[in-house]
Amino acid sequence: MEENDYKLVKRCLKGDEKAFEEIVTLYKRKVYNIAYKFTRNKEDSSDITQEVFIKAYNSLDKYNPEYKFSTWILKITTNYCLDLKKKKSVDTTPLTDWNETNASTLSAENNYIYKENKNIIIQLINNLPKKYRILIIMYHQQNLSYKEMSDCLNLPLTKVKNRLYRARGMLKDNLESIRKEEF
Amino acid sequence: MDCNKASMLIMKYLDKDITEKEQNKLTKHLEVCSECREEFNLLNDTFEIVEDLEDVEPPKDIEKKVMASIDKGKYKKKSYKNLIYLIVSAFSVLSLSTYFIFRKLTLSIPGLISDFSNFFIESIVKFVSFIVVNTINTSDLLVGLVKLISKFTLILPIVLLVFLFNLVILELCIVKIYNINIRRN
Repeated sequence: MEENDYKLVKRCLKGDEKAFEEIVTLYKRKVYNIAYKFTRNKEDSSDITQEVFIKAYNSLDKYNPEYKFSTWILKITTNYCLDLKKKKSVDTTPLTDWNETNASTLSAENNYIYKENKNIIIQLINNLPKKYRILIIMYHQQNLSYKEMSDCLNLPLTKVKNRLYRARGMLKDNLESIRKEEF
Repeated sequence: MDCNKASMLIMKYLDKDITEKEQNKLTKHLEVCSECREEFNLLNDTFEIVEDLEDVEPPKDIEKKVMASIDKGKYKKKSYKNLIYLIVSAFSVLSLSTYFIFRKLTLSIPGLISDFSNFFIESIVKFVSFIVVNTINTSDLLVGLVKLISKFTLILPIVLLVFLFNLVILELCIVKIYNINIRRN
């Protein structure tokens, strides 16, 4: 897979545009989902995905094959997301956007609680500061390793770990305070 | 085990990086500490939900939009243009150095090879101008010159090599011409 990626990059650098289209097809899902989970807005995510690939194309000759190509493209994506100036409007109908494989097996009442909890959690993740939010998305939603996150964010492993622990703690604290408000 | 240690183990559990021994310790602590148990349940449930959230389908036309906005010639043109800059710069140096050396030669042996040198210079100038006119238009040439200057460090060794090679060949020619001249006299 990684070797194939590098072959595609080399083909692009020789002027084969089809190879870049293949790269976009391979990685658009990953890039788009990080962007969507970060912004919670489909239109913005589509724009971000395009910008990320254009940026990647323009600096393709600077790609260092020592790193995995997926790490490189995610690095561009996370940098782009973290650089976004202000938070734009968020989609107001997130429920239908998520496929609910688990929810369908639950009873109607549990299903309601599950959906409610899910919405609250999504919202709370979205309210975390950017540098914490991105780690929750990368680790728990995109299944990246500590090493990959450290490469993407240019941070030492220990810092990534501490920051993710802190992010989980913040999320937990916020959930607890919401629960206290409810009772 | 204190609650701080338990909290670290909960994090390791969420990392799926917990050893069996550590997990047993944690379970024992959770049995007796309701606060940590609550923390564990809350975090565990939360991240189960977070990890269950499936990916969203990206729009189908992303490839089309990206391909429409990139400069497709970016990597094609580059190598082709660089080659032309190199050829032109090499020939310019070649013709200049040839001109000066033949001038010197013509002055030192008047009348002998002036016709030959004039013919030689004329053909080199014609050749270079033919390349310039046929491969690059004026604006390209200007851009090319700017690029040439900016890439001077890269081109310099090549130009020097051409210059040296040229010098050696000409020295050989001079020696030969002098020899003929001496024999004639």
